[in-house]
Amino acid sequence: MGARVITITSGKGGVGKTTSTANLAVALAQLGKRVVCVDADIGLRNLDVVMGLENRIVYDLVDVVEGRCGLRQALVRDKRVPQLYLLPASQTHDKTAVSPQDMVTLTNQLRADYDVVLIDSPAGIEWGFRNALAPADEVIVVTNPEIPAVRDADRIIGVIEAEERSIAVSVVINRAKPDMIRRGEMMSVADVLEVLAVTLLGIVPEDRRVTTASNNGAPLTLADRHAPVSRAFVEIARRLLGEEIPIRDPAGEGVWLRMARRLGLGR
Amino acid sequence: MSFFDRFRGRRASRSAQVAKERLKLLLVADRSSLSPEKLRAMQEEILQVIRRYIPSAELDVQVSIEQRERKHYLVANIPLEQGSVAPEYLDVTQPHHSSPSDIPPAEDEE
Ligand SMILES: Nc1ncnc2c1ncn2[C@@H]1O[C@H](COP(=O)(O)OP(=O)(O)OP(=O)(O)O)[C@@H](O)[C@H]1O
Ligand SMILES: [Mg+2]
Repeated sequence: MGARVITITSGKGGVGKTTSTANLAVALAQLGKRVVCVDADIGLRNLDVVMGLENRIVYDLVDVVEGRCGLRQALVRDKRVPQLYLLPASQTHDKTAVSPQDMVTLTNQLRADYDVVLIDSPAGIEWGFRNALAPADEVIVVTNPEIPAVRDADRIIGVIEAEERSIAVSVVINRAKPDMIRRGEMMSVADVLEVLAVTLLGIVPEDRRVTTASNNGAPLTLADRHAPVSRAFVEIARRLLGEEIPIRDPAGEGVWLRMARRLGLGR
Repeated sequence: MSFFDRFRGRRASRSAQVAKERLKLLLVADRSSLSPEKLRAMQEEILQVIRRYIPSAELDVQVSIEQRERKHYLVANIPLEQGSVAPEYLDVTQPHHSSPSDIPPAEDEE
């Protein structure tokens, strides 16, 4: 059985794609999976820094595509977790240095040796997103409970659904602030799901430690696996692996949202 | 409750509710490529046509936008009752319908 290729994207920038990729990668590796993260944000690489692997990079994705090194040589192993690897993006090249077909070829090479390939997509619906989407078996759309982020998530979901091949789409709602939701100052998870009408994969709360963990070069899931953010990512990882874990509403209304997938809500 | 009704009806006391309603309207526009303004104009025009045929529809008719799965639908609920249709649109070619004042009782009442 070859690896599953899962692309993490969003439409809007800065909603937490790279954070989600790094934390999910750690969670999946800790669950015993062989994981490779691919940074598809060519020209604006970040995943290496969030994972704390930036000093160990020798080659990058563009070097592989252009034949300057083998795929194995470019993979950076994370020594803190067994079986976790990063394929870094190039910082110097333009994103057109890689084509969607290159991405398919490259991930097909990885499929045999790993269980999960996570692709960190750039924001937008342009070239870089197309590169990240081309090899995907599944897509996780990350969004925040705010109008611009949800609107762009909807746009991206529309683009993915318009693809000829069918690609499973689910959504992760990041930076949920339970106290604001309870006060009616932020859209609830149910609100976001009602309009997006896609399967909910998980809810990740806002936590300042996401930033401090990133400062220290260790995703929070690695630095403190008991933090609510880390728990959320571990649960998402387990759901990806097929476990049925109910999703609890962070605003504490005790709604088990997983049951209410696909717009069962709010009608 | 229909989408437009909800949008009109609720007070904007909580910003989350405002955000949700604005977002819904925005997504209808994005998905259909019709601006909110055009959508409203279309809704109003459809209402006018219905009123022309059915004067009593003034109160009961609803033209609203509903979402099912990821698609939006323009939905009209138009009550068609005895005496609701304007006289000039009554079908006079059918037997027993010779004049607007000579409408037979509905079948189930016979
Ligand atoms: N749950 C969270 N709580 C607090 N801060 C967060 C959370 N998730 C992400 N952030 C912060 O938000 C910022 C943007 O996150 P990130 O870089 O993961 O987004 P991105 O979607 O990859 O952005 P880009 O579109 O630029 O690639 C970072 O500073 C990150 O630390
Ligand atoms: Mg990023």
